[in-house]
Amino acid sequence: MQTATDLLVETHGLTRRFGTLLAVDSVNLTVRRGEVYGFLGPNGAGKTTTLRMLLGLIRPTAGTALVAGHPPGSRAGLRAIGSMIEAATFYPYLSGRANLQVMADYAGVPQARVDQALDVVDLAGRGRRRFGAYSMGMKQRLGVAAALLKEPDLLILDEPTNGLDPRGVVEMRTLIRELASEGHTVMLSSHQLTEVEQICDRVGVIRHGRLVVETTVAQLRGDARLLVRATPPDVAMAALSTFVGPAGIQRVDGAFHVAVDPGRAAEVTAALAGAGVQVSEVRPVEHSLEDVFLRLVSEKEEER
Amino acid sequence: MIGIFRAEGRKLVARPAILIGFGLMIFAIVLLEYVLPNLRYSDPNYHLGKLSGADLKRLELYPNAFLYITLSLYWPFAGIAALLVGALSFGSEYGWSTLKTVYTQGPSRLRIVAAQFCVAVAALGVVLVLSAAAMAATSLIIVTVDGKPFSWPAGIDVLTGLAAIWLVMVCYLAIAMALANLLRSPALAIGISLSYLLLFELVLVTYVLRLTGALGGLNQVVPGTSAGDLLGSLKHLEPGERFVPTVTDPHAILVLVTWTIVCAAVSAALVWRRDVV
Repeated sequence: MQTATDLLVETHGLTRRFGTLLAVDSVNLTVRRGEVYGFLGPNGAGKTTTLRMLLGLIRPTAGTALVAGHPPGSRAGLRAIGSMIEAATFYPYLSGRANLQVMADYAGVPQARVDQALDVVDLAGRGRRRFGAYSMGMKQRLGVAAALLKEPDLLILDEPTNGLDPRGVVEMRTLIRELASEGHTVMLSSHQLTEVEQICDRVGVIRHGRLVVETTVAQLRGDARLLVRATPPDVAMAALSTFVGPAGIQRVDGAFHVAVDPGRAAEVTAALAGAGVQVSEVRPVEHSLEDVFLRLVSEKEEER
Repeated sequence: MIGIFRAEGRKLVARPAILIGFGLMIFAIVLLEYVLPNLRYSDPNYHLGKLSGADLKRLELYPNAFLYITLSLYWPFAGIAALLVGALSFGSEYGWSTLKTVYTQGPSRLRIVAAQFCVAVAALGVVLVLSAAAMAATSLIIVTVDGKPFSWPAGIDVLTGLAAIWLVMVCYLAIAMALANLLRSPALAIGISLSYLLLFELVLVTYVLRLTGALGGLNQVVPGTSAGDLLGSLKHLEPGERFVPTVTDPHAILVLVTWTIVCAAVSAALVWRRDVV
């Protein structure tokens, strides 16, 4: 049972329509304190619109949301959130440091936080350079530094690795992992499945504005399956059905994917042997998040 | 709220376009209105009609003419300067997409836009005082070098004149702010506001409509007529000079204040209500 203080983000039927376009459709999602939540979806799925609604930048057409216990865009709520939506945007004629000083003034936090935040993102030595002269990676890191100024309960980062070179991507992922390990709650949107797989505890998958699934990364990957290769197939099928019933078994490339806890592999092998089946392979099925994501998306496409 | 003012101050003071623009404006005023005319009028053979160079110096360059020149100069240049500051200050936030960064820091949008406007108003006041001081100092140098007796306009007249110029600037700042927020672009706001000021108000309203008498009522409500008449009425006219205003001073002040309030309200409504996408 989640209590109100455990949930840093909670939406109910959150909807946004732009004219005839339904950008976000009745989204119900929750982000728990202390977790890294991956908000996953292809480009144009409604991720950024949802995050903007959580920050009060866009008003919902319908539905409600609570962020850090407050309505989106409220002063108290914003004080508890650090965010970077899409690319980091600052005043190009000011230095990185001066930009953070401006944001610290707006946020009402002590100026001492500026240097601390620059330190965290490894920009302390380059804080005096003009923001307009920063590389994309430095700009994104400054965006994260600005998000950290308020020492927020919740960090909302919208595609933070977009536009970064491979080294920048690795640095940004490392930074996010460090922030998470320090106890920050992070809500991270991305269309890069590897990123979400590496960083996140739970994910919400959004497609055409609808939240398709919200679960843990492990569950989404479908770890709770066993791959079995055995002959003769009809006898093997009958033996496996005693564990999960026919509905829990799929034929994939001549093998069986059985919806059974991989911890029961020995038990399954023994049952198959007892039925006179020759077993050539038994192992857990490891779907990559990418496989699952594409399956989820294609299932929903077929439903439409 | 103090933090928001400080943030807006940091942004404005460090902005090269604003600093260079104001610096050039003050330099141009001193050069074109004092230095070059002084060189021309110092030629003993120079005459303009019946007036000698010495007469012209007394009428235009010495401290007694300081307020007259200040009030003459600031219409329409005060309006143009204020339009540029307004369009750049408010429109650039859209161009740089910085609103999403600023609006997620905590303070309400209305507080932020109010602080932004107040800081711009204060900056215009500072620039006005600095340019007036530069003009006064140049005037003092010229009269001292010439070794002529002089007097300054009454302090209250100078203050009233500067306050009137400031009011005009604030009005045009508010117009530019509303346009920048409406159009979400500094370039469009500058283009449209300058076109409005130069083509509509100065050419159409001031000359065509006033001379032909067409749409006479329009003169009563546009800010340009009120600004020009208010500043014109504060000049101390030389014998033989005539100034016939279209609107009275209270009417002019009412028009300028009303435009300021309406434009500020339009900006506030746009900023408060609009999605930041």
